Amino acid sequence: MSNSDSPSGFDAKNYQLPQQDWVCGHLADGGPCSIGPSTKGSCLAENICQPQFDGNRWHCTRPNAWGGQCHEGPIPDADSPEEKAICPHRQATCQPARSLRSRRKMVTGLVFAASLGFCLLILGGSSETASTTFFETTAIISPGPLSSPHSAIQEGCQACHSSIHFSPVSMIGEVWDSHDNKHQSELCLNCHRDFGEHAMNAHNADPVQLTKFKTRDPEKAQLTSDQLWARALIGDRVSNAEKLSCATCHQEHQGADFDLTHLTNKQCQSCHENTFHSFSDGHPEFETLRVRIRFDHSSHFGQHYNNYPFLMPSGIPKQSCNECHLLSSDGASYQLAGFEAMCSSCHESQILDFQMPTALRLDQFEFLKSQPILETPSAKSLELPPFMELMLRADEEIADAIDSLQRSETSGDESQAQNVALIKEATRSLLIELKQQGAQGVAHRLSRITRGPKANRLVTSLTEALVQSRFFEMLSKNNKNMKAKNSENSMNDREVTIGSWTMLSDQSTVVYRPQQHADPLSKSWLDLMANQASSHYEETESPDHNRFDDFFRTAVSPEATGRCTKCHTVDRLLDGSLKINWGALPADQFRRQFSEFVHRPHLTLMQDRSTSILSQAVEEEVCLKCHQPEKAFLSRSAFILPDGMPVTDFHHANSTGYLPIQRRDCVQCHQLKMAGDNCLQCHNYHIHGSSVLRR
Amino acid sequence: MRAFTRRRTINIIMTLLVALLLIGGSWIVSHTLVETHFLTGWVLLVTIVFLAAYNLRKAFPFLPLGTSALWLQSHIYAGLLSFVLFLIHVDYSLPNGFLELLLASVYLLVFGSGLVGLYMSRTFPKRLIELGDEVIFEQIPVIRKKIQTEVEHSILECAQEIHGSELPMFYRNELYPFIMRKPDRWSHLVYGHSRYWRHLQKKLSDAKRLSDAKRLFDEEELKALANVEIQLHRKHQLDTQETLQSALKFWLFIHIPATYSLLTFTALHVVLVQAWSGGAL
Repeated sequence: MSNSDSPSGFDAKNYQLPQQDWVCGHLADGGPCSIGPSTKGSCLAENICQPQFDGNRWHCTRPNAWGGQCHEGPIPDADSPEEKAICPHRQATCQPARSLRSRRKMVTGLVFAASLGFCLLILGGSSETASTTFFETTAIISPGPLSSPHSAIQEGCQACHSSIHFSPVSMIGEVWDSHDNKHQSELCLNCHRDFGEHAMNAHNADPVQLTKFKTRDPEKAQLTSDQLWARALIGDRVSNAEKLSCATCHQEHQGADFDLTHLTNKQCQSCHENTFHSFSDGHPEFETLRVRIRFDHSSHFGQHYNNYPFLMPSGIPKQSCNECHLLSSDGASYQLAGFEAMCSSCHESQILDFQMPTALRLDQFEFLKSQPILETPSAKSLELPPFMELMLRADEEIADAIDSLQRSETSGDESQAQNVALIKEATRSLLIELKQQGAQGVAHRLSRITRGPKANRLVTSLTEALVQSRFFEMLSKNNKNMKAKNSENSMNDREVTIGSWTMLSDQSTVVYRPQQHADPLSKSWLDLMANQASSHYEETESPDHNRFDDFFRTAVSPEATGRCTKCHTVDRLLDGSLKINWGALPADQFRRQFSEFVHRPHLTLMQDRSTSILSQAVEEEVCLKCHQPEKAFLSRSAFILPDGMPVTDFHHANSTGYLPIQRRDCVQCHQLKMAGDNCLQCHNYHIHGSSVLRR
Repeated sequence: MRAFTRRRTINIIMTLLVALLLIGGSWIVSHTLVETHFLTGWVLLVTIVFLAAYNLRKAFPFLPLGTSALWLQSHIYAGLLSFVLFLIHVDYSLPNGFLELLLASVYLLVFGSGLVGLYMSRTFPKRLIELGDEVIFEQIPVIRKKIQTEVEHSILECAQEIHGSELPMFYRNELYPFIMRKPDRWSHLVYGHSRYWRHLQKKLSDAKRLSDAKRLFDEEELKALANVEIQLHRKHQLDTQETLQSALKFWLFIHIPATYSLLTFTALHVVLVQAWSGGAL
C-alpha cells in the first residue's frame, strides 16, 4: 500500500518504527522529512546529498536508500558555479525530537535513578558510621510510632536496634542472616534485666530442663486440626527454635496504644506439642495445688478443732478462713497470718520438746575420756552425732576409719581397735581445734566435704548460727568452771546451759535445744543437709556413701526434733537439688509465676453486691465455692514417703485437705464471649525462675 | 469468542482459588508465632519481580520464554493476585511509617495504572475500530496537516471561482480554530467527541440554513463547504484517535517508571526489615 493509496497516509517506505529513539523535528507540524534523524538524534537534512563537481559539471550523490540520483541534479551557485552547488531536494533542517518510546525510557531512567539515590541516602543515613551518615533518616525509616512505654526512650534507634551500627553493605548482608540476629534482643535485655540467664529460651527456662518438657517423638504430639495445618505450613521452626528473640512475640512500631504483650491462644500453642481448642474445650485439668506450708484443712476443721480440749488444752481453734488467710493489698492473693497467729497455740510446744532427739546433739562424748577402751565398738555402738561425724570426716583418713567401722558387722579385731584409736584422737583434736579456731575451724572442715555452688553460702550461714547460739562459748568453757559457776538458766544441778546449748552433768553430751519457732541454727543445718544430700548424690551415685543424705533423712523424719518438715514442704528443684520451703511465700514471690489468679475480682463477683466487706458467713460461702474440702483423715500417707524422705513429687496428692480447683467452675464464666479465655489471663510467658517450671 | 470466554472464566476461577488459598494460608500462619508479614512479603516480592519481568520479556522477544500473549495473561492475573497479597501484607490498612507509606503508594500507583491500562486495552481498540480508518499514532500530525491542506485547498479553489465569496472569511473565523485546535482529550476519552465539534456542527448547520434562505452561501460554496465538512469530520475522528491512542501509550509512562521505583523501594524495604527485624521468625 503506497502513501497515496492509504486512507491514513501510511507510507510503507518511510514507516517510522516505534523503537526508533528520534523523530524528525517537523513531525509535530505534520511535515517530517523523508530521511529522518540519525540514531544519535542529529538532523540529516544537510547530508541528503553532497553534490560533487568533476571539473565539468555537478553530480548528484543522493544514496539509493533515500531515492538515488535525482533527475534534476544539483543547481550550481550563481556567484561561484564551480565552487558551490545546491541540492534541489534539500529539506529544511530541524531539531530532531525524541520518540515516544525514547521519552518513556528517559522518564523511567530518571525515576529509577531518583529512587535509587533516595534508597542509597536512606541506607547510608540509617547507619551510624560517620562516613556514611548523610542526614537523619530515622523519621523516614521508622515503620510507625512506638508503644507508650517505649516512647520515652531518649537514646534513639540504637537503644533497641543493633543494626544501626552496621555499614550499608553489612546491612544488605543481613538480608540472608537476619533470623540469626539476636543482638537486638540483647539490647532489650539491657532494660528488661529480670528474665534470668536463659532469657531467650522458651519461658526463660534452662535449656536442659526445657528439653524434658518436649515430646521428641512427633507421633506423640497431640495437635488440634488448626495447629496441624499451621505446622504443615511453617514446619517446626517455632517449636524447635533454640532461641526465641523478643521480636518473635513483641512487635513494636504499631502505635502508642498497641498492646505489645498481646498474643492469641493459637499463637501461644504454636510452640506446644499438646494443643487444645480453648479453655473450655481441651484445656488440661488443674493440677493439685502444691503448697509450701502443709496444712490439712479437712483434718483440722473436721477433727482436731473438735477435739482440741483433749489434745491441746491451750490451743485456739480457728473459726473462719480469714483468721489465717489475709487478702493482700493488691487483692491478688491471700497471705498467711503467720505461725504465731495460726499455729503456735497448738504446735509451739512440739517444737520446744526437749525430749525429742535432735540432729545437733553432740552426745557420746565418752570418747573424750582418757580411759582405755575395753571393747572395740561395732557399727551400732559407734553412733557419732551427725555434726561431729561431719567435722571428723574432713580428714580423709578419719573418714575411712569411720566408714570401716560403720561397715563392720563384728567387733574386736585389731584393725577396728586402731580405727577407734584414730577416731578418739581425732575427736580430741577436733575439740581443741574448735575451741581455738571457733567458727573458722567449722567452716574450714565443712568446706572440705561440701560440694556445689551454694555450699559456701550455706556453710557460712551455719557457722554464723553456731556463733549466735553460743556453741563455741560452751566448748571453750572449762568443764570444772562450767559446772561451778558459769551456768546460765540452769535447769537442775546436773545440767549447764549457755545460750541454746546445754551440757549434761556427765559432761559427755552437749545438747542443742531450739528456743523458738524458725530457729536459725536448725534452719541453716537442714538447709545444708538438703543441699548437700542432692549434690553428693549426683557425684557418688551411691546413697550408701552419701552421709548428707542419711542425715537429711533423719532430720526430716517424723521423729526429728521440731518436726520441721511436718509443715514445711521440700521441693526438688529443676537442677535436682532439694530446697525446704521455710516461708509461706517463695523468696522470688515478686517474680512472675507461670499461673496467676487474682482473687479480688472473683470475690466481688461471687459475693452479695450489697455487702462491701465479706462477713464470715459470706466469706466461707464464697471460698467454698471453689475450695471444696475433701474427706478428712488423720494420717496422710502422702506426708512422708516409705523411705523417710519428704514428698518432693509435685504431682503428689494434695496436702491442703481441699480438692483441686475444678476447671469446670472457671469455665462457667471464662469463655470467649463472656469473661474471656485468653491464655494470658491466667498464664505468664516470662517465668524466669528455675523453681517455677514444674512438671 | 466462546474459547475466549471459557479461558477468561477458567483464569478468573483459578485466580480466585489462589487468592483464597493465600488468604487462608496467611490466616493460619497469623495464628502462630511466625511473622506473617515476612512470608507474605517474600511471596509479594517474588510476584512483583515476575510482573516486572514481563517488560524484560518484551525486550528479548527472541528468547524461547513462551508467547507474549501467555505472558500478558500471566501478568494480568498475577497482578490481581499481587493486590490480594498486598492487602494481606499491610493488614488491610495503610502503613504508619513514611517509607512503608511511600512504598504502598508506589505499589498502588503501579497497580492502579495497570488496572487502568487493562481497562483501556480491553475497551479502546473497539472504539478505535468504530472510528473507521486505522491510523498510526506517529502519523497523526501528518494526517492532520494533510486535512488542513485539503480544507484550505477547497476554500481557496472556491474563492477563486466565486468572487466575493464569504467562505474564506467563514473558514478563518469559524473553521480554522477547530482545525488548529489540539484535541479536547477528556471529552474524547469520556464522551467520544468534543464540545467544540458540536459547536462547529451547529455553526455549519446555521450556515446551511442561512444559505437556504439565500443569505450566505450559494450552491457552489455549499458544495465546497460539504467537502470541507467531510474533512472536518475526519479531523474530529483523528482527534479521537489521537486521544485514545495517547491514552493507550501514556499510561505506560506511569506504570513502567513506577514499577522500577517500586522494585527499588522494595529492595530497600527488604534490607531494612531484614536487618532491623531483631530476629523475628
